[in-house]
Amino acid sequence: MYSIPSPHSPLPPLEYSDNGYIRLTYPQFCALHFPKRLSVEDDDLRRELIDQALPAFCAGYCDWVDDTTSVQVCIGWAWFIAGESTTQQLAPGGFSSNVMFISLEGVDLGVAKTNELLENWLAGISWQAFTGFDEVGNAKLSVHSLH
Amino acid sequence: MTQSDLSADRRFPLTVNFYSYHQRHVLFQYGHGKQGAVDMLTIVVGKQEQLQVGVEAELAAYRYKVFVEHLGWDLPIAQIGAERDQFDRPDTLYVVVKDRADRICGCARLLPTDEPYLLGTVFPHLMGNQTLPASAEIWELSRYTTQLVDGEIASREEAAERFRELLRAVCETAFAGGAKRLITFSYVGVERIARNFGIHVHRVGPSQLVDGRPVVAFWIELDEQTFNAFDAHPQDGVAH
Repeated sequence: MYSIPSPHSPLPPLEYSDNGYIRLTYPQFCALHFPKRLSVEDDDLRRELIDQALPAFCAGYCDWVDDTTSVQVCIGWAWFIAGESTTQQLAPGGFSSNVMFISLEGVDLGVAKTNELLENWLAGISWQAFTGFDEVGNAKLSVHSLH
Repeated sequence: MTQSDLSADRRFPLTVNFYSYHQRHVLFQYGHGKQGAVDMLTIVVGKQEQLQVGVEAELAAYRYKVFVEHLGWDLPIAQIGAERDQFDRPDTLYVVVKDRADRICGCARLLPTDEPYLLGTVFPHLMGNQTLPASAEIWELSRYTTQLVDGEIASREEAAERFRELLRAVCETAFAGGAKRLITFSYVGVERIARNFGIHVHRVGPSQLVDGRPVVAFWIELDEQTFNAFDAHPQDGVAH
C-alpha cells in the first residue's frame, strides 16, 4: 500500500499491490476514461433476474477497461432491460473490479465502501449509451463451471 | 446419522486433514420449490491415492460428461469417457460432492501455484500485465462445477446451495492446507455468483474472450469476509 502525504502532493502512479488490488482515490478513478468497453447479452442472467421478480426483457454484462496508465483498471457489472423501449438498468449484485478505494491518507476504504462509490460513479455517467456499441458479443453464459 | 447430528455438525468448523481421506455429510433443507424436501450431500476431500477405490475414475467420467459433452470444451488430452489432464497429479487435491444416491454432483481441483497449474500454463494471458502467482500460499481452483448430468435437474435454489457448499468446502480445504488465497478463472456469470455469496472476490484484470465467451481471472481471499459469508470459522489465522 502506498500513502499520500497530503491532498496537494502529486499522486503516485497507479500500481498493483501485493494482493492484486489497484489502490487509488475516488478522484483518481473518476479521472480514468475506460476506452475499452465490452457488452454481452446473457440469457441465463435474464432468467435469474426473472426468478427474482425483475421484469428482464434482456440482460447482460458490461466490462470496462482503462489501460492508459501502467495498470489495467477494470470494472464490470450486470444490467437488464425491463422492456423493449426502456434503457438498461443496473442489475443487483454489485460490481466486479480490481480496484480498492483509499482515503487521502492511503487507508483502504474497504470492499463495501468501494462498491458504494463505484455505484455512485456509474450513476453519474450515461453508461447505457455505450452498451452494445463498442465490442458486442452474444455469449450465452448458462453454466456454473470454472475452467 | 440423525438430523440433529447433522445440524450439530454444521455448528463446528470443518476439520480437514490435508493428508488423509476426508468425508463429511451436509444436510440441506430447501424451502422453495421443494418445500419440506431434504437433500443430503457428501463432500469428499483427498488426493488421488486417498480417494476411495473407484472415486477417481468416477470423477474423471463426471468431468468428461460436464466439460466435454455438456460444455463442449476442446480438451485434447481427454480420453473418450474420462477427462483428465496434466494437472491431475499425485499432489492434486480434489473436493468432490456426492448426492444421497452416492453419485458425483460437483467437483473442484486445487493446486498450489508453486507447481505448474492450469492458468499459469495454458491461460497466462488472463493475468493481463500482472505476474503469475507462484506461492505455496496461493492455490489455483480449477475444474469447478456443480453441473448435474445424466438428465438430472435441480431448481435454481438447489443449484445455488450446492455451488455454495462446494465453494465453502474448497475454501476450508485450501485454508487448512496452508493457502491464504485462491486464484481461478471462469465465465463472468460464475464470478458474479461467487461474489453474491458475500465472499471476498476481486478481479485480476479485464475479461477476455475464450472460444468467443468472456472469461475472467479472479482472486478469492481466504479471509474473515469469506469465512463469515459461509458462517464458517476454521481456526485462528484468518486475515481481517
